[in-house]
Amino acid sequence: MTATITIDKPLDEGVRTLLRTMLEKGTVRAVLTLRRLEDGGGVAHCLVTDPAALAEAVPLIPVMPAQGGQVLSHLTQEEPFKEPVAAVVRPCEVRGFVELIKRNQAFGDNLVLISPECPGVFPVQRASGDPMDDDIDAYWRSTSEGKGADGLRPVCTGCELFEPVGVDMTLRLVGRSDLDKALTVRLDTQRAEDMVKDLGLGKAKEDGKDPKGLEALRSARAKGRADLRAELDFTGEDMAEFSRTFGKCISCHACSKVCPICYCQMCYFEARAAAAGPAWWRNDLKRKGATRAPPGTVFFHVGRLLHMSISCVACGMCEDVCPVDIPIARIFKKVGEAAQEVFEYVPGRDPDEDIPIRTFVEDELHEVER
Amino acid sequence: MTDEKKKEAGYEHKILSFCCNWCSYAGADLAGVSRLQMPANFRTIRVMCSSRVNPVYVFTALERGADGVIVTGCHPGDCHYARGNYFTRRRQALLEKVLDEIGFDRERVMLRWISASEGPEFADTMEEFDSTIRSKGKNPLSEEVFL
Repeated sequence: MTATITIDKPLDEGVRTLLRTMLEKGTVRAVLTLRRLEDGGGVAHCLVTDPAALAEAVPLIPVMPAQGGQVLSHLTQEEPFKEPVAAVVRPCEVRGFVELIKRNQAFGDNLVLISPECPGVFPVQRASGDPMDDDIDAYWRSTSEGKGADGLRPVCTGCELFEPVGVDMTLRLVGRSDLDKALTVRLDTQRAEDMVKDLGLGKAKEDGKDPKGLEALRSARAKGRADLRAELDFTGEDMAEFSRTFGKCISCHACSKVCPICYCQMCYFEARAAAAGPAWWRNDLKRKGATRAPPGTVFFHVGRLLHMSISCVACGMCEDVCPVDIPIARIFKKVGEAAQEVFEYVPGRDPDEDIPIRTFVEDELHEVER
Repeated sequence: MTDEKKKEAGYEHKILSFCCNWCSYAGADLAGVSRLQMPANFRTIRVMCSSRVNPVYVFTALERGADGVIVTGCHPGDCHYARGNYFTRRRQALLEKVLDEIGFDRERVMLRWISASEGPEFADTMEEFDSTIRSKGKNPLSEEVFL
């Protein structure tokens, strides 16, 4: 049976208390959390060792300025943490991180993952300059009632994987009526239980029944997912609708820069655009009479689907940063899930599960051997 | 694209075939030296293993004007590199699913196992795929400007 502790401070304050205590008692050497910049401007991930510097930490602020999995990969790419480090990251960030570990881009050693039941995040633009206090109040009210808040990233409204998997501590938020008074932390691993014992934050109790609101959010998300899928259907279109949707792309490639799965230093598709020489134009013009310059706009997205959709964690970073408002995360989520279903694969579910295209079963998939 | 345009008079479709060096390419060679009749619409790229074919290469060919792409390799269990073709099969499954989802006709791509001794099978496969592609006509992407 899993144990929980209750910290008698709410939300951000509660998480700050937990992190500060862990730092002060030496349970962890550092913590990674979102933190307001001193001038109140924006929000960014910060690695913190000084407990006093946690005063500006806002671990639960509903924005994602960078994908936490990508941030953790930057920190652990060369070598694992040598001492325990706690990180507060969302479930999709944990999944992205696990996918990066599988790709040898990160180490999970000595990392204590703390993750909330995630009600979703607002678009990243909200992170800078905008106090968004009223919206945050409404956000937590909806969360305590088990409803989705308004104004979230579209892809969050269809996220059924909002409960963290493979973490040490789960911050139980959804559907809890005491959200404005106390923070409930579930201890998911033996390591977490051992750590908390020495913190003096109260004795661990057995976990109670799931609140009704949690079930309510689960079904709301299932419906949201079905709605997203119905909205973006390209099947049987000769690719015309897909080409129209991605045709307005300006090839800034920001979507791949912020993508946790797209870790390649030199993207194949960027090299390819540079490689399109005179023979390329001549061939295209002979067939079409007109050709886009530089080429490869839609191709970039199809190629990215072929390269990374199998591991897409549907975090929504790509759609947030798109300057021409292509519903890219929703499309990648849908196509990615379809591809993942072929192999019954859920990215980030289990670090020991290999990426489907890197493994095989002898007797399978006979439908493609035509 | 209208149906008339697809079946434009005199349009000769193009098929790209990826053949693995150890089985299918030898099978193609056997079909040739056995003087088996085959359609002249396919061009072959020899690869050391069918798993060398990144799905992106297949889509590249389709985007650059090929009307169909076929990947051929050793039968499962017979791969020269022991396990390469099992990876090919997974890639093909991924490719076909993605093509489905973006609305591209998955029947324009095909995976088939052909061994070095299967010359007639190679010829039959090409005949079969050729007639599929012929009936489908021009690949709609080949005239799409905004790719």
